[in-house]
Amino acid sequence: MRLGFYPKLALEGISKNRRLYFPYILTAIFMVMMEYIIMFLSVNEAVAKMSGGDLLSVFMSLGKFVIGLFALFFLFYSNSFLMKKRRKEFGLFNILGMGKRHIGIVVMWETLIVYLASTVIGCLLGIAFSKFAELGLLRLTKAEADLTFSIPLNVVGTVSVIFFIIFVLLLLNSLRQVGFSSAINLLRSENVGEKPPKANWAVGILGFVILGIAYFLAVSVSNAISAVAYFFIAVLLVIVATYLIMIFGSVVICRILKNNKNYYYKANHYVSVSSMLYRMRRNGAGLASICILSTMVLVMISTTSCLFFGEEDLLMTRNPRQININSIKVSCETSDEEITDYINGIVVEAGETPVNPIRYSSIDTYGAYKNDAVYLDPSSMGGVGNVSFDSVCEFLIITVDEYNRINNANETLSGNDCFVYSQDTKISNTINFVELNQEFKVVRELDKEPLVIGMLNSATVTRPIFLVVSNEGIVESLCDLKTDDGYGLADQFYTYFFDLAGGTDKEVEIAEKIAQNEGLNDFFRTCNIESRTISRDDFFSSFGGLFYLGIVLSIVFTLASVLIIYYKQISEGYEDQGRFEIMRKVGMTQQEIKKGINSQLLTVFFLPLVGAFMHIAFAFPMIRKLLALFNLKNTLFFATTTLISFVVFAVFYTIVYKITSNAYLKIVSSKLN
Amino acid sequence: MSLLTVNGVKKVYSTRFGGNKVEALKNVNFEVEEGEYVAIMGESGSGKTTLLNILAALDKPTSGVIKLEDKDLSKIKEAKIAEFRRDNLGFVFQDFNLLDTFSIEDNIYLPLVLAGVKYEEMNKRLKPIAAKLGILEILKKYPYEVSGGQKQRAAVARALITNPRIILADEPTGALDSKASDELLKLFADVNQTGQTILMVTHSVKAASTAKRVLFIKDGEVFHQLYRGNKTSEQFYQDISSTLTVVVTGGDNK
Repeated sequence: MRLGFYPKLALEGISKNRRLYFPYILTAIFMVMMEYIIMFLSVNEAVAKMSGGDLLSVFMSLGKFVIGLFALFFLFYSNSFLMKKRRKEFGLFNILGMGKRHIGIVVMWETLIVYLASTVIGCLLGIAFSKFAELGLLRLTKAEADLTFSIPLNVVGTVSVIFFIIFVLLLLNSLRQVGFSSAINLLRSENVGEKPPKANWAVGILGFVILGIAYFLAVSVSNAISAVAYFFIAVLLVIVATYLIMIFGSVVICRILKNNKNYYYKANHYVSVSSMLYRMRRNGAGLASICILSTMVLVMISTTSCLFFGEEDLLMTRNPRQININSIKVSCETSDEEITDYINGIVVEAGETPVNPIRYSSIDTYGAYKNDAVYLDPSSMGGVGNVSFDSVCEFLIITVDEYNRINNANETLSGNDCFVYSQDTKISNTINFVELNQEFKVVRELDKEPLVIGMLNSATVTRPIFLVVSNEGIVESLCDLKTDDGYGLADQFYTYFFDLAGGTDKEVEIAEKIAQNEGLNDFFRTCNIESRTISRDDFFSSFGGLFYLGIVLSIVFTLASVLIIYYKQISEGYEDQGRFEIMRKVGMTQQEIKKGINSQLLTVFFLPLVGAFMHIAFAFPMIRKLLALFNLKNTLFFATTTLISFVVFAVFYTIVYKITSNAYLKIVSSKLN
Repeated sequence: MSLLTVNGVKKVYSTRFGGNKVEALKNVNFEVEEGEYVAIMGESGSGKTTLLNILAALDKPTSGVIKLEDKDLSKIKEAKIAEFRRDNLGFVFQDFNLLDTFSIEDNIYLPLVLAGVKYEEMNKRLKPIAAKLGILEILKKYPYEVSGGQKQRAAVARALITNPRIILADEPTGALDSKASDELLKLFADVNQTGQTILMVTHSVKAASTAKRVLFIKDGEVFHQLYRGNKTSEQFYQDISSTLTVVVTGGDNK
């Protein structure tokens, strides 16, 4: 009898509270499954074997860490919710003569049952879906798949241990709650009269101020490097601000509405404003969490899908031709034709012919651009420390001869005259190169880039400025510029892109042949050779991997939001039950009640979605700059993916709303009829 | 013409699958005149609360007619019933039924806000009622901050503020201590003095003894009634008490 008593009590407790327990166990199962799948992928051989597999393993390890941590926080959230509801039951046990120790044993059994159920079912589901997950990943990254099926037992073991630890922590937390309260407290814990929240003006306004600062940061960021630097600060500020606004700011707003007597004392505002006041204090944190999670999902999906679907675009920007060579010449005197002939020789020797060539040589250098003056040497500005990053520009300089040859033009430039092209830097009429002692006069601003930059600019974080200068020794003098320590200030680049007449058959082989050719060392100080086919594989494995991880984490975060919403609705349902019953007795019609419920649900429900939309809208310029690091500069494309992600998410969110609000209505109306 | 006419009211509850039928009210007949203060007494299970729910239009009788003046309650459309209740009836409940999210003042305004009355008008109406009920100081407080007696007085104010035709009170002293009960009953008597019709369901003899007339319900029927006439409360208390003994011990002297 004694042996079976506690487990039986625990099982009964779970099944009696299934409306609360069911989603909790479901969450745990889901978390176990996701953790298993991600871990499975991180040790999977097919994944490791594919090109870029190392990177994928890193992604997966990251994902496994995030999911584990998230599972911990999230199970804590739902468990605390559960415990709040169960306290009354425990109080009753306590009064009926069960000691705290015995209640502890019941709680322990419950935790054990939930742990076992979720780990066993979660792992089984994980195993069942692991092959799909693997195939999905391989498909996204365009890698070869095999049909072997494996169950890595060490993964099962690790997952079990991780969740064992999580559940032990949960158990300790529950025991702490049972231990600290007396029987009467436990019994009454549910219906303590609550003070209406005071409007905390300072904190509420602070929330809006912080949000303003974060938005301003995001909008005003001028280049990719500051975007990277400020991104996490902005994210942090937005998170803090969202919580402050949802918890305190909302109370302030409700107070303002309440003080407006003509607005407040209207049948449809009256009930909703006053109950929102309470609701927001209790659920502000939940709503803020939903808002943050939604924002994260949207950012992840929009960026990773943008990279994934924009892959071909990126590839073509980076590798305009099949074979792409970009190198720094040993000396400015070496003739480009000589180098080109040498490379073509290698290609022909391998049995192929270069076609569609793009070739040019250019000066590529960085300098601080300030008040019409360009400082190439940081020491002339008083050291690197004194150079503000915003002022740094990349200068791509070609002679007018090269310009004419590449663009089939017939321009002439003499002396200090130059053409300029720059996308977003304001150029004045003169540019003074301080170290060169030369002041260029801008005679024309070009309306497009004078050369195909390709991989040279593949991760340009600074703003490039193109200059076309006369043939009169300017390039040569730039080449000769040295720092006091003897380092060259401006390198001359040799760029050569070409396709192969025979298509992609020999592309990889030829790229390798060129890369391994020792003779090129005579021409180049450094040389970078990329084959488009290899790049494409790399792109797919990294962007596909990122996209995959984005999807997986989005599913996890979305599920978390759904669960928060569900719990919120259920708890509010129980709270509102009595309230609406009273209103009906006092003379509120069934319709008025329904209308009130609906408008309230809608407001509370779509608040996080509106918040997420605003966050995304303001983060947009910043994320766009970050994506530029991946060479993705197609703003319209990114805007489209963001918008699609948002619409899909909003539709999904609305479906969840419909389902959970039904649960709410069921609870509320159970006493109304 | 009577203010409230209850004629042949019958209420039968059936269990969910229609098996057992329970007759809560068999055949109830009585009338309430304008300005009366009537108490309905009976044991637990005698059908008091069922009757009150039917009078409040919260429930429908199986058969019989209830008329407020010349309006038949059962003829009012479902959609209009809440409005009817709001405009004509005031309620005082045993457990107060104040909303914890509203201040006392806002709780009292609730029926008026639902009726779409302007704030200035509501405020004008509240002042004298609050003064009479002695709750002026607690108007800004919240239900959990005040005593049971104060809560019940707030509930009375909520019932009075709509100027209802009739106030229905369901065990109004049930959750109050004796001092608060006495105060509330005195209040009811005072309110009745001003011409307000009150119908109270109770099983407290003390409460019933403040009324002008007491109806006794037993087994779903009006079993007996007593008029106060010129008796003092103490004498009336004795009369009710002895009648109740007869009702409970089951004499059939009618």
